[in-house]
Amino acid sequence: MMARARKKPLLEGSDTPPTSTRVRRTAQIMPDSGVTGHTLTIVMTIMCYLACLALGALILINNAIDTWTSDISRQVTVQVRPLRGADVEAEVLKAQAILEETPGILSVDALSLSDAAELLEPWLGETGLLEELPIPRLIEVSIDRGAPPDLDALSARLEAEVLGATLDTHRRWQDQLVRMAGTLRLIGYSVLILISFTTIAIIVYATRSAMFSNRHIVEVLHLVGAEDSFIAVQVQRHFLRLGLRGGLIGAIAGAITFTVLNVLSESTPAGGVGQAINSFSSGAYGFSIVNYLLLLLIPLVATLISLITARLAIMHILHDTL
Amino acid sequence: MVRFENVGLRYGQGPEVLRDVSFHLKPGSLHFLTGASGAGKTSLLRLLFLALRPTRGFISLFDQDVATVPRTALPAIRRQIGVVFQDFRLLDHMTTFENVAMPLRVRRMSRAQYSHDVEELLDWVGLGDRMNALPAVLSGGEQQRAAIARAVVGQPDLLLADEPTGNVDPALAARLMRLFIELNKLGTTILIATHDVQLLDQFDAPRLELGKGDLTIHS
Repeated sequence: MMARARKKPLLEGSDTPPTSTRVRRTAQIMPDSGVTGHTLTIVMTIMCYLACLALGALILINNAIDTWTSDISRQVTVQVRPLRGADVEAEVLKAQAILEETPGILSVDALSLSDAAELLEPWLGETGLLEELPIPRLIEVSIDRGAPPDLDALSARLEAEVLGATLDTHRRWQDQLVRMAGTLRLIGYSVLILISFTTIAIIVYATRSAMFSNRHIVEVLHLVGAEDSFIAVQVQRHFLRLGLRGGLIGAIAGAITFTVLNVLSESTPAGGVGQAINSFSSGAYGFSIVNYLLLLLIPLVATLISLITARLAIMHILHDTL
Repeated sequence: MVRFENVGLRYGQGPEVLRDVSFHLKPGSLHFLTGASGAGKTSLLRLLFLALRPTRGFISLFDQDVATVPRTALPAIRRQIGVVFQDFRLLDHMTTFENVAMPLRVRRMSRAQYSHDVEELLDWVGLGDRMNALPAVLSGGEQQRAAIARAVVGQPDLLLADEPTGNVDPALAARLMRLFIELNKLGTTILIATHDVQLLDQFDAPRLELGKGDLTIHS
């Protein structure tokens, strides 16, 4: 129709020849300022940072539990109690002999009486009487985790052949650690889920707010024949950027936090929280880069949550309009 | 093209603003919609460009019963309708070119596909040198022409205009009317809502007169 009619201008001011270079730019249909402002970006960044801390804490817990349980399962202890009428030293030697001939045992180290007394000093104090007390004697046994001995059979043999001997496999401690780790993991996952739901709620609210503040644009788009999906794309691209930006800044801030904590905790005693934090960057098994890469999940998930939530919220709002 | 039969409209629990409105717009026709302010002209136009559904009655647009048309089919119908709003409704953050190109952009046409047509149309309505201007710096008449260009850029079969001469001086009003007449000659069905009696007297076209919600047709 236009081609038929536009041989001559209908109204004044139309002398300029049409050239495609006359037009400068293509603006966004939904301006940035009307959809995702600075406040929302800050909130999103903080949520992503908190998610990073929660995820990092989960990694630390897993690393720490792995380290502790592997240490414990690598060692067992034989305890020889001094029974009346029995020669403890002879029983210890007998137990040592049994242990040394058992396959799957790497080393056997019997603690001397003075070593055993030292272990009790923190509770009983320094007194020369300790060595005269009937202190149980301990034998530390390192086992081959690749081909461990039959601990039940070993325990039965020790109890049968050595007077007062018991085998402590530390399984009770291990079970408690696993239970504690399970609780901590549950808390970590709960925090992540809470952060996700809070983020979803924020995005839904922000989407509604954006649709309300840009309703004049939405109305014009509708009236010129825009489909819901076209309108949704105009809004959701802002939330895509929001999720990506907030997620990346949050993840970088999280990585910096763990690196700083790592540096600060280098001087703390082994086996404590400091060692656990160290394991984040040094890695429990020497692949620390994986831990940092895991933090990249946060921008990915944040972007997906932001995008999908905004899309669903927009389509829901548009569905209620004519 | 457009058929209304006993159409009634009320907002919420309020009184009926349109009562038993019946009329028929044939393809290629030009009609005026008149009536005092508050008579229901804008409400009738809102029904026509599918911004409202009637409380009762039957509306057919392009041989489709709007009551049974699924929501997903509405964009296709709206693309056959061009609307010139009384308040223009140009988007403030977009240039004249971008505002006018909007109906083509929502059809997912690329800039390369629509750029030449839009520039040509802007020249046609006398805004060739105002393409990169934002609506805020356009005069009332220029905004009016941009709104008209946006309404016709998609080559609609039906053009609705709400008080298109309400904000301009008599000379520009006459020029804009000439534009509508030209579009009508090219086959576009046109309905112009106005309460400008002097303007109506200059043109020999059927009038739909609304008075307190009732419609009277003057051939």
